[in-house]
Amino acid sequence: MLILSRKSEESIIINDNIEIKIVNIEDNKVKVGIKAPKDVKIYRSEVYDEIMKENKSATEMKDRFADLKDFYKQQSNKK
Amino acid sequence: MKILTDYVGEIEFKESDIITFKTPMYGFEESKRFILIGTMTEEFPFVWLQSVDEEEVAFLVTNPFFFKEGYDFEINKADMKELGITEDDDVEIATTVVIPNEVKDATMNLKSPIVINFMGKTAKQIILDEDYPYKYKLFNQTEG
Repeated sequence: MLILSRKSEESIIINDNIEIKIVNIEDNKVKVGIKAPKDVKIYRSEVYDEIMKENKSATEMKDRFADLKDFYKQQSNKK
Repeated sequence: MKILTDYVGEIEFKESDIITFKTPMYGFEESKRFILIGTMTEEFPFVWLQSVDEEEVAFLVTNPFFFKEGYDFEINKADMKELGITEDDDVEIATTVVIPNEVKDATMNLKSPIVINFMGKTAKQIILDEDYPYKYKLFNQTEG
């Protein structure tokens, strides 16, 4: 990971076409401005973390499959 | 080609069944090729997105529209390009399913659905700008 220090209003350029600017520093929060081509995706890292978590859980469902089938069988028996 | 699954035993499939993820599922960078096992029906709307590259990787998925009618989102141009589709092409949408302790509490991830281009046999997990939940309850929704 590249570590740089920037002051308010200073920028970093990535890949010739992405600019990250320190817009404001206040309390414990840094406001960051990002200029990037439209096809570059930008997300808070928590978003990735949540998706990976859900993905991982969804791969651990093999032994729940029988329960899921039972659940549907019960539902259709009720009708 | 054959694959041994934990949930339906041995499955035979053809090379032409394989769906390729140019960008892998998040957290699963080693799997690029998948097959779909099962048929999505109203009676039982769940299938497996089984990795061909890693036998132990299989996602339980559903068609979200069975459980949430008003699920609208846009697929951005970059994702369409990667999938090899245009605005007029048909795609299928699948969402990962997680079942906690009780089946009745099962959820699906509406924030990052899987877009499947069946004709071109490509797919991609996209992240929506729209504010949908990671855990949307499948059953006992008071509102659809």
